[in-house]
Amino acid sequence: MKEKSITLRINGENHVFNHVPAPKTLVDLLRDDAGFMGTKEGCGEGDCGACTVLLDGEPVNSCLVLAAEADGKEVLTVEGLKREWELHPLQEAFIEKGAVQCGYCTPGMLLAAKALLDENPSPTETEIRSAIAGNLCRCTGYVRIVQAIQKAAANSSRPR
Amino acid sequence: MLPDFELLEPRDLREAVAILAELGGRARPLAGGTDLLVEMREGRTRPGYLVDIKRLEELKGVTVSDDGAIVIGALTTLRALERSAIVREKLPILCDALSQMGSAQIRSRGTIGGNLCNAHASADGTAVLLALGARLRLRGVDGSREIAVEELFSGTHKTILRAGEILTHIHLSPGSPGSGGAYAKFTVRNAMDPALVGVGVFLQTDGGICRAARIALATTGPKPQRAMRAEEVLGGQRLGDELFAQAGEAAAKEANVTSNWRAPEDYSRHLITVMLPEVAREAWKRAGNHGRNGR
Repeated sequence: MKEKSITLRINGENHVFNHVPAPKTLVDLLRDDAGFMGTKEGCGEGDCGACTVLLDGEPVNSCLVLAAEADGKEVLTVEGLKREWELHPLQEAFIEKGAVQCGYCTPGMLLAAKALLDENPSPTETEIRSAIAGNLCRCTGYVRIVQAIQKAAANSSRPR
Repeated sequence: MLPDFELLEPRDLREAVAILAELGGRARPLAGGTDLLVEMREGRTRPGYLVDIKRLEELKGVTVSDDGAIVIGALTTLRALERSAIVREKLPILCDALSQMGSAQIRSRGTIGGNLCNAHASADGTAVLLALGARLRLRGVDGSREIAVEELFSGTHKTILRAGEILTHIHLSPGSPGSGGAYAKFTVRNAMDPALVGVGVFLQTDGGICRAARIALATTGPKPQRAMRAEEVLGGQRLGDELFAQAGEAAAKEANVTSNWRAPEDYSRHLITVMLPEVAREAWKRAGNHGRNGR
């Protein structure tokens, strides 16, 4: 088909999108049609990870997922990390450790980190670096990002 | 922005094959999309139709039969393979490759079948399957056929798949006692880079003698290749460092390697002389442990 109606559960809420063209990517749908601007497109070819979201709990480059392919699935964007007025432990840790400079890589980093901690709550530094290997940062040099993830892992008392 | 196309979503294998056969060169199957969508974005391919085959559940998963043969569905994601208890226990050579393929994000979507069928000479999954002597099951409108993994590739980025034919399963023979394999890849960066050189070695050993060896190279191309002369060096010989070094020299000499922007030819050849002995040593170590770890 040239276009399709799709239903996505984004950050816990169902959204219906009609007339979604086949070539529309998930990142474009999230930003243009769903209004979730946190997810960024940095390269459009799956190299930088700025567009990382969790699709059915798995980290993916949303620039390489067609919106149509996400039909019926759950999507978590950076906007979905906080609870009411409370930031996610990862977000708190990133702030505390100074792991954010321009902020462009940050949403992708947070979601890649969440995917890691959901599966491996006590990762080694090597495991952290491996989990964010698909997320490029041009500002921080990664050190504080790794420290922030370590801190969030150490602090997390419950799965979020 | 992706160029325009129509998306088709067949519900089963028969429908998928029929659609692909009918559309021929106008359609491409869409699995993980991590290579195909990039190609389309870069204008290197412009299919009028993408046939999303991800509904074909029978092409997903890893199973092991009573005789120990392992069957991997072509649509199994690299991430699912990383998590598979069967793969972790019985195919450490594949684990070596998986951890170095792309990123977590790529592995969540990319499939082992897609990796094979893209036919990149530097594909790590391909080199490992060459070293393992995998057989591939293909399905077309006329039925199924089985080929050796080497037969799949006809040239740079080209396979012998006919119109309407898709790879459905990868078959691996049961590992015999005294067998073991390993894979290593040399890259400039720590992650995300395709292999400058990748070396996979699979050994069948018997009391310190090499009964059979399969050596696969992931390089600059044009096709993923076996290092046959190096295999002959090892065959029937008593395993040891000096032998591995000789095999490394043989592989470096025979490898089909050309200079390109990533590395000059002599550097790639030098890498092979260094890497092959290390990988062979690891494969031998695992072969020695075979049978002790519940395989």
